[in-house]
Parts: sequence; structure tokens; C-alpha cells
Amino acid sequence: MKSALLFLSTLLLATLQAPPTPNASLSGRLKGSSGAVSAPGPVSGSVAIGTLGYRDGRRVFQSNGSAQADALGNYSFASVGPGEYYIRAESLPTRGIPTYYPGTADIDSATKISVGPGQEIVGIDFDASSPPTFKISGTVRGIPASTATTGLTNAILGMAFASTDSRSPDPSAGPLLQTTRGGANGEFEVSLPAGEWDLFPVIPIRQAGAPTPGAAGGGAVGMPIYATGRARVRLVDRNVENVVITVGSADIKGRIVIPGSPQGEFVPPVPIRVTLLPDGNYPSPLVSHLRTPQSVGTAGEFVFAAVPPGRYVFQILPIPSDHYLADMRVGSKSIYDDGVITVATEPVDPVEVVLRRGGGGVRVTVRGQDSAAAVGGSLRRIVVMPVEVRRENALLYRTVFPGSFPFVVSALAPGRYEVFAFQELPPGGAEQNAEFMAKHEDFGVPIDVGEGQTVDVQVPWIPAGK
Amino acid sequence: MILLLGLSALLFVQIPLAPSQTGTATGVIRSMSGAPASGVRVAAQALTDSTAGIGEGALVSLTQTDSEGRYKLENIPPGRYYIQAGLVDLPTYYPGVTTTNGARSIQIAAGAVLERMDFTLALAPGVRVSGRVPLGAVRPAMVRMTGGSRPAQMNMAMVQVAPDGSFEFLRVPPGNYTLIATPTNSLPNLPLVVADKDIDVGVPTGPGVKVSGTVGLGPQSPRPANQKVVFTGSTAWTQVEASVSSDGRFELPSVPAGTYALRTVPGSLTSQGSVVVGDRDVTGLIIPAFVELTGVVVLQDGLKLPAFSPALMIQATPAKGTTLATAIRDGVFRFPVVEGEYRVSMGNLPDGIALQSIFFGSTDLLSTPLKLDGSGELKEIRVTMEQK
Repeated sequence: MKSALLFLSTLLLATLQAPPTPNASLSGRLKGSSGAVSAPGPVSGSVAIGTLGYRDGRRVFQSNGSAQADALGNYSFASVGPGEYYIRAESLPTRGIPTYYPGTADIDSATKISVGPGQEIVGIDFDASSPPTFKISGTVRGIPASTATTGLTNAILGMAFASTDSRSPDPSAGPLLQTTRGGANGEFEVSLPAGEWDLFPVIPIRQAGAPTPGAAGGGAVGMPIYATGRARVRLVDRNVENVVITVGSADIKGRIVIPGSPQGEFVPPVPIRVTLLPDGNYPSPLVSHLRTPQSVGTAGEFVFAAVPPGRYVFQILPIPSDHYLADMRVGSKSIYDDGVITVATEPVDPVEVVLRRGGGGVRVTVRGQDSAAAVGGSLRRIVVMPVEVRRENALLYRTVFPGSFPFVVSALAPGRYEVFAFQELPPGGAEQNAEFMAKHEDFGVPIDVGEGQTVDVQVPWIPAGK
Repeated sequence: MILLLGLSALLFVQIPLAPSQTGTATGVIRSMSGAPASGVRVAAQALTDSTAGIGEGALVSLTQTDSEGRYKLENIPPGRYYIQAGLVDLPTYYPGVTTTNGARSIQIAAGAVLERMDFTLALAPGVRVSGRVPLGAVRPAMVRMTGGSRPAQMNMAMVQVAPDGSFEFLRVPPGNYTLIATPTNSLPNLPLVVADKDIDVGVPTGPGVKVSGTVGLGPQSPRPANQKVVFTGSTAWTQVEASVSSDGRFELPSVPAGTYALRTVPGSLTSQGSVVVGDRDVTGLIIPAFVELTGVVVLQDGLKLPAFSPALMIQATPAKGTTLATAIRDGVFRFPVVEGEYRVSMGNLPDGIALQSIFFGSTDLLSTPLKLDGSGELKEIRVTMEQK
């Protein structure tokens, strides 16, 4: 016993006195290759080192640092913590489209670099060659007349673009493309490499700092607003002409309803704010005015002005703790299953989001409770995931940190769920990423929750790093 | 470029009046040491009872002192003014005080010329802080300067780094600052105390001695064209440099006392050695050369090496110092290292792959260290793997 104690105290001392892990360095060179359109040799650009993470349920590249390549194409990171990293380059020859080491636009084909404590990693050389590009030309229709007030000679500031690949970790890749044909009739011409792209004309309709036209509530004032549209173009081996992009937008007006509040009054137990998130690959500058949380009005009302065409989901910050999402309607149509509101060029019917007190609950225990006590990481989470047709509705998910077991998750909307226990869940909404959850499907335990019921469930821990 | 200058420009008021309707004030500004202060900004600042319809505090005339400290403020509309000199945010008011409480105002009448409005600065007029980011280091795009004796005074001054690596802040008030490079991983932050003298953060201070030597351990050490040797001082921002001749020699005429990390450019990201400079000339200093090793990895049966993630790495561990590693890519690798003696090995191997041999020419690197001492020609490293 004495020796065990001694061992423990020695271990503790060693932990306390452990020197900080020395950081490593990493360096390499950006270069064109002889087989590319651009001449072989050094390439200037910026390089980022990072990992894959999640944001709003979407897989994204999370940069831990960036460096500018010098005139010889050399880049370096002087202080890198131990770990496994992706290295990403953005250079002019690639139109700013990210290239991952050793020279691929597809992160799933990229090679991670393992960095040890204090190591000097050298020779991490990139192919940042200029791929063949093809022209996309056509016409933008429906440019708002009011853009004349911005003083721009050409109302189209440029073209934003995004890969249609939902697995791409760079949803709004690349800088604004300048159109080489800028006729007043909305003609455009840009060049991109082979691939399937969504094109978005960028047309300023409000400068930063100006009041939002027709907006109620706060929050959106100050963000620039752009009119836009969307066209999907698949480039294989030739130019694509006569692409027509119709610009449009709609205001989304709606309100949050809490049954039981005095008639005509909206009495939430906590202040509620709402945002509108694009369900897809919208370049973020075009929708930043929607991402800014706005407080709902005294009757629960909210307005999102100038919402460009696309699919959107609401984020409600927060849903009061003892309430659940009971219904979502656009006009008379229910969007409760997927929570998606679709905007085209026509006006959108009023949106009604119903929050109701009560619901059902689940009492969770994990298998191997003794070992669970040792699993004290701050990233452990219980995820209650809606299934089947409601799988896409992010407002029906419940992700909570379990203090101790059994742990009760209450205020669940009645319906079918699967329960997961993650020892370490990546932050940023990984549980809403279908690809991520598919890897853990076998760990989920299905439950049916009814109004006023609390269901007991025992779930296995999903080990960290799995 | 500097936000402070932009702000001060906004404060000025344009008053289009004929010269006969305006007045003039002249004088000499002296520095805190009593010497004429050249290049100091001087302005007339309106009081509330100004008759010119100008708002309180507006600066209506601006000039700079000449090399003898003389100034001439012209085209001042009739009214009552303070004369102020120095920094916009930290001015000295005539007759030499730091607040308007003790300042003496002057009355300007149409056509009047007020002479000998001489006074001595009570605060330093701001200094120039300049520097040059170290050659071969990660080149920051911008340099920020934060701090100062007033929180809002200089909290966001930012300048671009010129292509030659130089940067410059002008009229920096006295105070404690921090220089921050952007991206922030390029250089460590540098605390800086600004008093009344210009600062060049890129140059070590103090009397220096001559330092000379050679780059490369042997006659066949690589010596690329336009190579420089860089001595980095006590902070990563401080450096002296010299060109290296085609036979590897270099000489720095004046290096102040201190400890310096040594690098060559082109060369390693990290130090290639260090030297302590005292009060005597240093001769015969030898800096190991930077060697661009290359290599190839083959499978014994001639099959192409598949791609692995994480990457397959080759390591070179020196007798003393940091382990270097590089990634194998399409069966080839570039491995830039500094001359020395290394144990070469593979990093973690994936299942199904085993290492058979590593050769440098005819030298078996699994049993013999790799010696890079400039005594022989550089050869390719050849790694042979086998599938288990």
C-alpha cells in the first residue's frame, strides 16, 4: 500500500512538474509543376495549417495559423503544437481555390502531416499549379434599379463561387471573381477550373452602416447587403455560355408563438434571438446580415430583409429550457419535419414558430458507469437526435453535457429519436453532420418519446477519437 | 498609413479668407533639451470666444518648424487662439505648458502679425520607430503597435511591411508599447519603451567589433549565390547581416556585444549555431552550411509506394538538437538540413510496410550516421521498403 501511494505521489509530482511541450516548426515551398498551365517555379500565396472541424453541422477547415510564402515560394510556421495537421495553400494560380498538401483540392485525398514535440518539419512542398480554366458567360437578370445609388459604374461587383460538393470544407472558397465582360445589360464572364460550381453575382444594395430597408428589430443594422442569385454550372472540358442568373430576394417575416401567453403578448421566459442560416454553400458575405442574431419584438415578431434565393434554417437562441419546438409553418404549410424555408424570387408567406412548454423526456444511463466516472472531459455529450423525416431539423436536436448519471434530458418534442453518448464530441455541431453520425450509427439507441413521458435508456459510450 | 495622421487631418477646418482678412503668428520651438526643434507640427487652436465662427478646439492653421525650429502660422481668421506644438493628442501650448489651463491665448486681428511666439516643448514631439523584420524569418505582412501612455492613443497603429522587410511608425508619443507582427506566429511580440529618441528595433545598439568567418564545414559545402549570413540578437527583431562570398567567407564590420543566433539565408528556419560577441574581434567563425538533401523511396518489388495519411516521414536526429523530419510524397522527398552528423530513420510505418534499407550513396545509414561535413559530393538518399 505504501509503495502504491509513493508511486501515486511520484506520478502526481511528475505531472505537476512536467515541462511544457516544446512546439515544433514546419516549413516548405509552394511551386508550380512542369505539367501545369503556369510555368514551373516558385509560386506566391498564403499557407494555412489546421485541422478539420465543424460549424453549424458542416465540415470546415479550421486554421491554426497562416503564413505568407516569400518570393521564392518558401513558407514556414515557427510555432506548431504537436498533432496531425492538414496544410492548405491559396495562391493566385489556383484562383484562390484551396489546395491541400501535397497538391489536391479534395481534402479526402490530402495527406496529413504528423508533427512531434519540438520537431523541425522541413520540405513540405506543395504543387500550387494553375489548373486549366474554362469560361462561364451569360447574363444576370433582375438587377435592382436601386443599385444606381451606390455610384458603381457596373452594378455587378463580381462573382462569388462555391463548390457544390457538400463534403468540401471550404464552402465559400476563393476571392471574388472579376467579370471580364461588364455590360450594363448584366452580361458577365468569369473563368474557373473544372468542377461543379455555384455562381453568385454580388450586387451591393446597401453599404455597411446604413439602416436595413424595411427591417424591424435590431441586429442587422451595419452589415452590408448584397443582391444575388444562383446558377449551378458544371465545367468538364469546355466553356459554358448563355448562363442566366436571376437576381431576387424576399423578406422573411414571422413570429414566435408561445401558447399560454396572454393574448396579444409574447412572454418568453428568457430573451430570444433568431438567426437565419443558409442550408448549403452560400458565400458568407452574401448572407452575413442574416447570420447576425436579432432580438424578437414584443409580440414575438422578427423580419429578415433581403434574403437571397436559397434554402435556410432558423436558429433560435435559446429555446427556453422547459420548452420544445412544437410546430413551424410558412403560411399554412408545415415545415416542421426538416425546418427548411425555401426562398425564391416570390414573396414568402409569414412564418410561425410555435414553442410549447412540456414535451417528453429521456433518462439516460451509460453502460459501464464505473468507467464513466473517469470520462470527465469537457467535450462529453449526450446527443438526442431526431430520426427519419425529422433528421434534418436542427431545432429538434438536443445536445447536452451530462453532469452525472442517470441524466435526464427533458422538454423533447414528442417523436422518435436515437440517443448517443459521446466521450468526446467535436464542437461545432458535428452531431448534425450526416457523414459524421453515419460512423457512429451502431452506437445509437432508438427511443419513442410521448407527451408527458420520460423514457429510460441505457447507451454505450462512444470512445474518444472514434 | 497611420491612423493617428488620418484622425488629425479630420480636425482641420478650411477657412477661405483673403490674406488681408487674416493674421499671422511666428516664433521658434525648442526641444526639451533647449535645442531648436525641427520638423515639429505647430497649429493655432480656436477658443470658444473666437469671432470667426469656428468651433471650439478646431485647428485652423498648420505648419512644421524648419531646421532652426522656426514656424510661421498664416491665414489665421480673426479670433482668439492657443498656439500648440507637438503631437495632436499630447501638445505643448504656448508659452510651454501641457494643458489649456496654463496656456496663454492670443488675439488675432485682420492683417496682424504676431512675432516671437517662442516656446519650449514640455512633451517630446513623438519619435520615429522603425525596423526591419529579420531576413529569412516568416515575413509578417503588417506590424502593429499597441499601448502608449493613454489607452486610446495608439491602440491600433498599423503599418505595412515593405518588400525589403522594413517598417516605420512616425510621431510615436512617449510610453510603453508592444510591437506585434501579423500573422502573429511570424515573430514574438516585442515590448518597447518610447522616450524622446528615435528607435530602430532592427539594429543592436552599442559599440561593435569585427566578426568574420566562413559558411560551410568543408571545401564542397554548398554555397548558393546571393547567400547572406544573419546574426539575430537578443530579440528576434534585432539582426545584423552580411553577404557571403563565393568561397564562403563573410565579414561584419561592427557587431555590438551580445549573444547571437546564426543563420544563413537561404537556409534553415531555426538557428544554425550561436556566437557570443564580446569586446574583441571574432575571426574564424565557422557556420555549418545549409544542405538541400533529396531522396527517393522505392518498394523492393518495384511497385509504386502508395499514398499514406498521415504522411510517411523520414527523420534525421542530430547528436544534439532538434529532430528534423520530412514527408515522402510520390516516392520522393526534399530534406533541407544543416551540415552535421545525423542518425537517419523512418517515422511510424503503417501496417503492411517494413523498412529494408536507407543508403546515402554506398553508406548504409541504418548502421552508420549520415555525415555532412563538406568533404564530399552530395548524394541522393535511397530508402527501400518492403511489403510484409
